[in-house]
Amino acid sequence: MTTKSGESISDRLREAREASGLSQAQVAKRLALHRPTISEIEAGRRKVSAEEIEKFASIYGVPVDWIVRGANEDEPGDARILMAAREISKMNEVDISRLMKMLQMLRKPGD
Amino acid sequence: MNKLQQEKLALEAIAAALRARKEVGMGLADAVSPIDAAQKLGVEVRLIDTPSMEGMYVSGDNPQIFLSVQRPAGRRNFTCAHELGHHKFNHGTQYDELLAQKSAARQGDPKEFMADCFAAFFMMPKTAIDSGLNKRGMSYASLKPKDVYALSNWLGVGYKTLISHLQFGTRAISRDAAERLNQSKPQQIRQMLLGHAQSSNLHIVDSHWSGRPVDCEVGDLILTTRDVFFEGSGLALLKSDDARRVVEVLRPGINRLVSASGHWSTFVRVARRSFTGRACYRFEEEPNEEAVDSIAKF
Repeated sequence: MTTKSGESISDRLREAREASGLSQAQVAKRLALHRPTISEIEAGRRKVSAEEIEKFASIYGVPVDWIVRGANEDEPGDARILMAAREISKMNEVDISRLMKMLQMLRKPGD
Repeated sequence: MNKLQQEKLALEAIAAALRARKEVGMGLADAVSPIDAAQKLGVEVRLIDTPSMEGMYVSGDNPQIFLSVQRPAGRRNFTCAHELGHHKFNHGTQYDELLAQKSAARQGDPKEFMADCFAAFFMMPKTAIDSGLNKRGMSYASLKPKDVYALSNWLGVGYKTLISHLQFGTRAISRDAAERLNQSKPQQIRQMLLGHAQSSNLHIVDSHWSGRPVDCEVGDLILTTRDVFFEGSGLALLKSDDARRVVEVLRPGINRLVSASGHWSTFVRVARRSFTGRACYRFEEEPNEEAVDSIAKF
């Protein structure tokens, strides 16, 4: 499965954290970890357990499935609405792409 | 849509807005944060950097509202209430391009019309406006630009949005009065109140804010009365005279304004400028590393 998001779990953890608006220090505080631990995880130098992934997913408000597997190739239905918006509205291409990426990140399996 | 259809939809939207306020525990005379309200109603709000749009509502089991962080705070709040309207009416996923660029077809769309009516009466029910005016000793007949500015601050909407609602929504002021008020711009009112130009937001906070948090961004100013003190490291006194205090908003986090008499207080919630992310984290303080280390060791 290919994905336009980060290629690895660590990349996606960083992407989801940045999209949530939290800094590494803020996440570390929530999980009672040292800030460098978050940095190590996001750099792919420290393994993360399934339990930790669940905690990260909950803090970042994204499905566990997206962190583990990345975005599905199929466009979610909501993204198709944005593709239609591209044709008829004056929303710019960068904004539409940003929204579509966000929708893929937040989409739960089966949506 | 003919006029009769429009009136029917407007009444339906107003009733839904008042029901939604009740659902989140807001009295009719209270000012409300639509971002807090959306979260209470199970809709996640995210602030994103998309300058060419106002906002978007995504329906489904995990409903979401996206708001453009590039828009002024009052506009962002109104858009949030508008998207909440789409949620309440089960309109399905909707995007909202910039207001000025909305096509004629979308302007006449009943869904857009209903969401706008919902937003206007969710944030500005007539009872809240009347109560806000009375408590401050203001009246419709003698409304001045600074009165409308203070009231729009409290209600959480833009200056022009409130004037437009008073003219077309509640029909409390005449077209002439609206035109006269619209001649003043928020920047001019801020300059008149402060004695200098202020590009970021100025919040006028009085005792009637009790229980209503003041939502600010770093760099904003708060104009309050001489008897008000603040608690929290995110605020600093900029200047003070016999009647007023100007407080500067320095860093993200939660602070408090308290009257010297102890009769009223309110929280000041500060977000970093142009915060993007989950709205529930917008007022999060940056922890210092030592504190994080001590928690981790514990």
